[in-house]
Amino acid sequence: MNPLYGQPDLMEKRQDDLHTQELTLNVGPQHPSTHGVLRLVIVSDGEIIKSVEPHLGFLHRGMEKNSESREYRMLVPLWDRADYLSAMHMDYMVSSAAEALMEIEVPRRAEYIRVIMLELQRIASHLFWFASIALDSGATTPMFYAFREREKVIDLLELVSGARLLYNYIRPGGLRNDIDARFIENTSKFLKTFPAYLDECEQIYSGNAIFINRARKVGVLTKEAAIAYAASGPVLRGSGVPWDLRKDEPYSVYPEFSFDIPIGENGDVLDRYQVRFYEMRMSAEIVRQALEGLPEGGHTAKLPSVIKPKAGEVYVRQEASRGELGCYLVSEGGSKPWRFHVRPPSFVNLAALNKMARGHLFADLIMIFASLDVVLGDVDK
Amino acid sequence: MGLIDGHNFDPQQGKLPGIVLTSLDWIVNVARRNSVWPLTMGLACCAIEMICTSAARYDISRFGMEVFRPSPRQADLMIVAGTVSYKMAARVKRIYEQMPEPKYVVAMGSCANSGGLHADSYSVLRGIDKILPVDVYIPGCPPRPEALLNGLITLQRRIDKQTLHRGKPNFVFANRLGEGSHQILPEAAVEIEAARLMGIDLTK
Amino acid sequence: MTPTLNKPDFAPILVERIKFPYEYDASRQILRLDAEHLPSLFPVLKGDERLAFDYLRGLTGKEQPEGVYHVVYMLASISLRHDLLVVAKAPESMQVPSATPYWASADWLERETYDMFGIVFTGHPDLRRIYMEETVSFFPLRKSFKVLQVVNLYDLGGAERDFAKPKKETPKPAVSAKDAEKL
Repeated sequence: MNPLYGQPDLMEKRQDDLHTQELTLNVGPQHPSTHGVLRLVIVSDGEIIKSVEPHLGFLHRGMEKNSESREYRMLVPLWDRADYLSAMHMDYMVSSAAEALMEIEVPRRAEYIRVIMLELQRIASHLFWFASIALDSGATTPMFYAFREREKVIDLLELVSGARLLYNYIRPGGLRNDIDARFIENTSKFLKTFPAYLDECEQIYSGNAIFINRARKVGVLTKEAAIAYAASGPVLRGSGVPWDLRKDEPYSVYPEFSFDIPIGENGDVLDRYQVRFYEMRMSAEIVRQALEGLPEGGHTAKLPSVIKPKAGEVYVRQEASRGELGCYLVSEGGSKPWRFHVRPPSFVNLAALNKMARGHLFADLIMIFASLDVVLGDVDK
Repeated sequence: MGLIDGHNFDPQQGKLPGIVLTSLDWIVNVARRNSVWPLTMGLACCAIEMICTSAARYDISRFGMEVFRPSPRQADLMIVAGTVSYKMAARVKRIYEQMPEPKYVVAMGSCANSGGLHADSYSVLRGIDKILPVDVYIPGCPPRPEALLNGLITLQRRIDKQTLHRGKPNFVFANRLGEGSHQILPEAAVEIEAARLMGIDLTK
Repeated sequence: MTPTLNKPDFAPILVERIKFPYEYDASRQILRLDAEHLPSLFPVLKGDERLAFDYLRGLTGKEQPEGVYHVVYMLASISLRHDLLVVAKAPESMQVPSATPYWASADWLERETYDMFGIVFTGHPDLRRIYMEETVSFFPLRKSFKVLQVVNLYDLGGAERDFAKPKKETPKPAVSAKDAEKL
């Protein structure tokens, strides 16, 4: 193995070395490893990347503008489509922003069910990420293992909401409908088998020598750089910063559950990989605790048919699958928001790609990009 | 295809001994319908359901379509899965033109059909059929994998009816108006004007 | 016991360090000021060890009903675990000093705000549109920009015309049938 392989300061080490002609390379917007419609313009010296510039906007749908012409309840299905891999988190974002502005109390049972849904969604989203990072590193089999589990989670979410991908389930004031005994039974069954299947996924891939060689010390984001770039979620925690909004800025009923926050050491691809795997286990643990302590009560607060929050502004945030999902809502008192800004976690994390990929080989870029777990609908809005 | 273009085919008369061409059509269509290779053209949410369709539970390989090709040069079918913005529309059209004939387009989901939920946006193309000839439309937001499979079976039925007989309405290039070039419909004029305001030329 | 976010009172620190007019809402932790004072505010927010805002989690703009533009900075401190919302009023010239020298994350966030609102961040290393093409002449999130200006909803309008039921104008008989029988 090349001793220089995977060292972030490769460019500096090659100062006196032989340089080849500078090459500008275009990747995307239609490319299987860009996870959607992203265009990367890469300037490379031979195979070594000098800079990566992402070009965004190929999926820009103008959702923030459209939000200003919709009522609050109509925003939930609209923003479902933004981060389509964790639609529950998007639902919760819209609902919690409206609730924070109206200062309404959501029933405790509804909050518990919300936590169950959010954590199941996190498992589904991370499983999809596992499939895609395996595919990007050239392994096909783990995808089928991941999708087997993901379909089980999707079945659970479909049972309560009736949809497979975009749920429109969490709504301002509470939930669309209560969960039933069948859901609780199926979820308990799933939670019993899930850790063993997750072990299987790890056995098949996490110990693979090829994968570890491609992931260790690749795409290093230091602690200081991660904070400066305002990275969040597994990217920030992989760099060794213990910052999880579920613990640090608690919302909903998260303080009532006990769970651990995994953090990495080096901030490389392998750390982010392991952080996500541990998060899946913790999510299953939270769901188990929430099902045990599920209180009785109603599933929604009583709200008028047209929501009209009073004038004001609020910034709500939560820990979504990809990081901090923030929402800055300004109301002028009407039935429609005056300004609805979303801080998408993928967008902010993607800004650090150039920092991470600089000095690596071109093939590593694919792994680094996959480890960021970017959803283009979330980036482009 | 010497049998068609060769000496025993009279373009003026436009006829062959029926039985030969019918049998040939059948053979060619069976080969084509069972090896439709889609392009990995995931744009938005529908792409996730497209990937689910190719995974174990829904198993798209039952229909010979599991070979997702990353390159348009190797693909027969473009599943336009997701919202097409003006910025992307020009690229979608170019990728479509890079695919070799015969090629098929499936518009998956409301956004590709008509703009769907984002139809009132300033940057979204209201229906991919404004710039591409679409063979099958699949409604839904997003369509379930079963719906996608149903759409693909519909496409297979459509392929079954194809003929190599020039001049017939279901000639294999028939919906492409001549030799593969697609004329933009007059209904698309507004879309083209809107895209032009954003600095994108959809007519090319 | 889970650690919670600290809610310290920034008012004494701000009084001590800031020498220009500002407005501070202590209960909601919102600091309002004019954008021209931002260059002297940023080093205080980042540098003062009691504030230590090292994490610019978000940056966006908004337009007030009276046509004034605001730039909103969502700041947090990971080391001290507190946060602050800074709302800066942009001047008529729409020129706001850039925050990129202090927080690297401001780079893309300012590009997005420029793309959507047309607020120019002076001192930004690479201020280009991020979502839209460079050739676009409008700023979509301004209230003066109406979606219908760019795209008249041709298709939707057509569909409405086709599916809408034509209003039948049946003239009401002056005398109803029942009354006619009675008569």
